Amino acid sequence: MTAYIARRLLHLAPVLLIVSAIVFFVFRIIPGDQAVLRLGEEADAESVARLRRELGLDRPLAIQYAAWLGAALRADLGESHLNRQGVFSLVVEKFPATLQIAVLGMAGSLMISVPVGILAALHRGTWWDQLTRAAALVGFSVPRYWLAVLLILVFAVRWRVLPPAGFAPFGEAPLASLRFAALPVLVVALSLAAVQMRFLRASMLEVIDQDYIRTARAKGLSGRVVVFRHALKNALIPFVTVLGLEFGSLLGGLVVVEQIFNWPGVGWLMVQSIVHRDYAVVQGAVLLVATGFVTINLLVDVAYAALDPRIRYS
Amino acid sequence: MLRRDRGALAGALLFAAVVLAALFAGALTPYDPLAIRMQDRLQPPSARHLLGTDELGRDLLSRILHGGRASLSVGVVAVGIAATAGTAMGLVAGYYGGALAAVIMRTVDGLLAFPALILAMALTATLGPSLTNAAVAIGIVTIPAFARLAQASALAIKEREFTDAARACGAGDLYVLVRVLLPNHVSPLMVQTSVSFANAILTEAALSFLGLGIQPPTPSWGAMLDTGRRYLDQTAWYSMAAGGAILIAVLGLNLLGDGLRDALDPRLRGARAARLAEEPSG
Repeated sequence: MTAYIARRLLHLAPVLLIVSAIVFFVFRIIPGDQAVLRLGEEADAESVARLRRELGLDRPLAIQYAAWLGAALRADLGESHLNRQGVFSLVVEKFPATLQIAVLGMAGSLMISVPVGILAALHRGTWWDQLTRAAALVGFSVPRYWLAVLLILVFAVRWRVLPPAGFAPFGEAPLASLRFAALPVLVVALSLAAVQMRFLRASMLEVIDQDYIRTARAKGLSGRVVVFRHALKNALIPFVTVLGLEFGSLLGGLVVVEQIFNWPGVGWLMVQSIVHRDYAVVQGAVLLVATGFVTINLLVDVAYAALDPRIRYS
Repeated sequence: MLRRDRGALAGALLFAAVVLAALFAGALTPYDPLAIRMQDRLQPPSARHLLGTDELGRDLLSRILHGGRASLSVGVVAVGIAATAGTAMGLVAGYYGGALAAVIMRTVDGLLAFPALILAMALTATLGPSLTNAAVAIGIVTIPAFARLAQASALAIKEREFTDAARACGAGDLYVLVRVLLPNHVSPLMVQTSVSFANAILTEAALSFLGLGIQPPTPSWGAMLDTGRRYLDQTAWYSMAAGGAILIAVLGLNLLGDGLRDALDPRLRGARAARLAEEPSG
């Protein structure tokens, strides 16, 4: 297992290097001189030249990249020119809000997908199974932003039982925070549940057809023991991977949800920064999100290998 | 193949309807999608305006149909870029292996390390928001899915006897890549194309929703959904119509992709392992 983890960590380094290079160079495409963009068109040539020197823009691109990467490794991602705060601390500050929606949404989706997925697999071909499959396919195709608008329409505009948007920090006002979080969490839970249901059903079906399940039944074990102890345990292994990947992709998938519900998380921060041309923040946030995404994927792989020894040796 | 799978047939029909509606948008509605009539603003559906009107009194149905053109053309360009570049990269990496493959596939891994919407947002933010830039950005973020798939195919196909046979007959590398590997990769490529097309439409709508895609006054489903939600307390039709259009197009493509996958690999019935590499970004 140690060898496997070491191998995966070795694989991580070049990927992160490429990620950082992509982030760096994507933000060099921005048309126009960075110094002029900051100082405004009317700035005199001398102050532009001075700022170019200060920002290191007069040096070769490779040196600029190395300097930027070196600073990034020390958690120095530059400064937001909008509110003069360090980019790293700005993103870290917004992260708990994003995490709140992601964790609650994930928990909610499991409450839907696990029972529904298992029942669909156990009753293959029945109307329940057909209904589940159809619901999952529609759920999978419904854009999250439309689902959000639908839920706002029903719960906030028509019934007026939940606020259409807004935020309260969980640490200060937990109840208000949960009330504001209810609709965004529901959007995430419903859209994730669609994918999970499909996957769990398929993975249960694959396991149920195996010889050892027939053996377990032939031994006279009760249906419940066969389903929960023999089938579900094995079906859950690939399911864990799906959950991990979903969680990682949520870092990106929450951008629109946060925007709609005015929920000040990392995605919301990115959109605001793009609107205000605060590129240092966008660049830093993209780098941190990608690093988080890669790290979560690594943890998923390690968890998978820990659960299923066959993976380690392949 | 389509006839055996009712879902795939339904998907193909749904998507064909979307394409035809977008192509003949001008002939299907009598209204100019850009014609402003303030006296008719935010009207509910009626015999005159089947889906009602928007905040500037423009006919919603004709804006939805014309918006389909934008969504579909972004999809075509994005998937065109991704399928061409990704398949070429994957086939070359799989066929040659070695250092070249390592460089190509590490780059692909690097691209895959970004949630698709985040990278597309970063690209459109730096390139500037427009239909073309949105299409290019979505194309780039979709490359990894095609590259991975093509590499896996190439690795498998190059070991088969018919590849050896072609080489024994004196075929060069280019011939093997284009005439042996590529044709044998067509089935998974078709499935991936429909799945990626659906995701491209979702991502484009998300970008336009955030104001980073197609710019007004050009009609776009994502932007209409965004504007519509501001008038939710006055009319629900606005957002519902735009979202419904996205749903129909994406559902059609997903049904088609599912059906193709089932037809090509019955073991995967209902499963969606391959798709997990690219989660929908909406």
